[in-house]
Amino acid sequence: MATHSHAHGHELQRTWELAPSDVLANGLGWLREVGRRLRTPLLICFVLFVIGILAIVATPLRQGFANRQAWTYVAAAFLYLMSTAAAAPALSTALRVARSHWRRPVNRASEIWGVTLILPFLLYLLLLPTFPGTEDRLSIWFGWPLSPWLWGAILMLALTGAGYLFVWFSSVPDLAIVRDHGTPAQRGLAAWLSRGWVGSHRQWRIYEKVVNNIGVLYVLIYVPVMTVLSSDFIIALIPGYFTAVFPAYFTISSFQAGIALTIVTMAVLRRWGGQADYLGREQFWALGKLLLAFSLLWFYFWWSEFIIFWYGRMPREISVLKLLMAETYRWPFVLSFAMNFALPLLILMWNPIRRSIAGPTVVATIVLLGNLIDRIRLTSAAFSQPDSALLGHAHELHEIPAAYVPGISDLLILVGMLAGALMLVLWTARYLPFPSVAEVVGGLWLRAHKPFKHARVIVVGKPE
Amino acid sequence: MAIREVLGLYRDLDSAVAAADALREAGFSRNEFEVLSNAPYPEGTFGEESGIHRLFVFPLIGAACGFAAGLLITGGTQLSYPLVTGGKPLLSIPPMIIIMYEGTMLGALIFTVLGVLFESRLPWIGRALYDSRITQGYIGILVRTAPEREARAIEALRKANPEDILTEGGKTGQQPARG
Repeated sequence: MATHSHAHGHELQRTWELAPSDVLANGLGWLREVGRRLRTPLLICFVLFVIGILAIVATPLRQGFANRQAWTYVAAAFLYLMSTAAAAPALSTALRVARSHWRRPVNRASEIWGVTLILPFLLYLLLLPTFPGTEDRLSIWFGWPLSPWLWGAILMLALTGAGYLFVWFSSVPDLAIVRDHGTPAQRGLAAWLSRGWVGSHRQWRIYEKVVNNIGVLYVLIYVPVMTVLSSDFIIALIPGYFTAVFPAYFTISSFQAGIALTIVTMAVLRRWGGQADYLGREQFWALGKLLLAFSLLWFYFWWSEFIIFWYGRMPREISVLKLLMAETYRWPFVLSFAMNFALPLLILMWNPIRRSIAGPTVVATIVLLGNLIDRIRLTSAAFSQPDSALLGHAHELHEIPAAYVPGISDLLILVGMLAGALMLVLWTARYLPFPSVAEVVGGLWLRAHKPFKHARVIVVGKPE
Repeated sequence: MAIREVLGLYRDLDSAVAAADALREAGFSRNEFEVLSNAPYPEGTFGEESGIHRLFVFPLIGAACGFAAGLLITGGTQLSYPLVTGGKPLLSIPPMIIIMYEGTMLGALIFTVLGVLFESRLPWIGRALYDSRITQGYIGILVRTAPEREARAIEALRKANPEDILTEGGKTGQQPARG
């Protein structure tokens, strides 16, 4: 049972009534069971990932880097991973900085996605040669030497490094538990990664500060990375697309997808991972509110950009609107609008739905699909432009290209890369206890349920 | 000066706090013992004062170095290879901003790593008494003191009803099993 009812019908989550030994037992139980449970999904993901790699070799690589359109779905997979898996650790940082206790069982569900960062980084390196230099075209780099290749790669490298550092250090205390009590197969890697961790007072004091600091650094790198990516992959590849709002839209919609990914991960852990005691209505409700807020922001940033183009109605603006929203990619845009804004608003505006577990989960799934459609729409439109349409500092889209219809290999690439990311998460889940023992036990001292007259109330300790 | 280590293992928080109090009463300073646990406790639980850390200094220094490197690369390049700019300023700020920001963040990140390793003493190079029961929920009180004070430390640790006492010699001060 995940919750306790009381006189007034409210429910208090059982997490905070557990003993530290219960949490540890659950974490160790996860480690014992996880290998057997995840074997089949891991194998399926691995096969799909290999097929995806073969599809990249067979189609875009064989056609060469000069044909950028052949790389459309590699770019879509890259941008989707950056918008979801790479955004999830940023959510974890925000929750840590806010110092709320309900977030303690949630952090691992969002941070674990940081282990996938190597995949978008490799895809980025693969995509870089498809871009022409920036000397003779409009871009965020203003023609700076070796841009976008060298400087974009350094940014991505910094983000990848920060992401792995964040995942590693936030997991060190739990890795020490695996080192001491995991199965023999789990101990080797855990011992190496948690070398020297003994849980001393000094280490704990530094741990809490460092995890926050690295998380903040991660966010500080993530935002400019998404700004540069939105410019390099979308804005700079569509002549006449002069906008200062799009990078903000792109980043905000990525945060929205990061929240959605965390909610879906929590739902999976609750349904199939035995985490019902830790991931309850309190967590889904809180993240559902955040998801609703970011869905509204999605509309706000989209509208802010759209209204400028709509009122301007210069030929270059009309061309861009036709390409992205009104004609060429009209239906993907309508779907994106519905799934990222309209449906989340119409569903989550109702209190009973927002306060449930199923409601935010369904909306999060819709948002993840909507974000995928949005990234495919934008990438397909941008990657349809040949270099000749960009060079000479082109200011206008003279010919609106036809919609790009994906082939079988495109779909295999997309599914394969997403499966690759999932494979990395599943593999990592074999080495990390769920829930995070250090986080949840650390919260047990600071939060309790106490009787107050006829009610039971939550008492929260604030040591600082 | 030789330092001897003694590790007392406690099953619950109350005993561990009592052990820390007993050590203080026996004349051990807070620098002579360390609390080991598998989860963080609120600051001051064991009577310790909040110590000073210099963690924030590392990313600051790194960011300053990275910013300087970014400025040197971008500004230096433009000043070293001046182009005819038609009356515009020689230094073009907008493209410099991205690269300087990259440098700042990269510097902060690298120095944060160094700060983490230094401030949390990771990886722990020296050998220290440790017991895997600590990650099982036991609380360890690790005393580092002069050889002549070892017996006094053991005596103080015993007062708080430990599950076990480990010394460098491998001797254990086993307690009778409790119900």
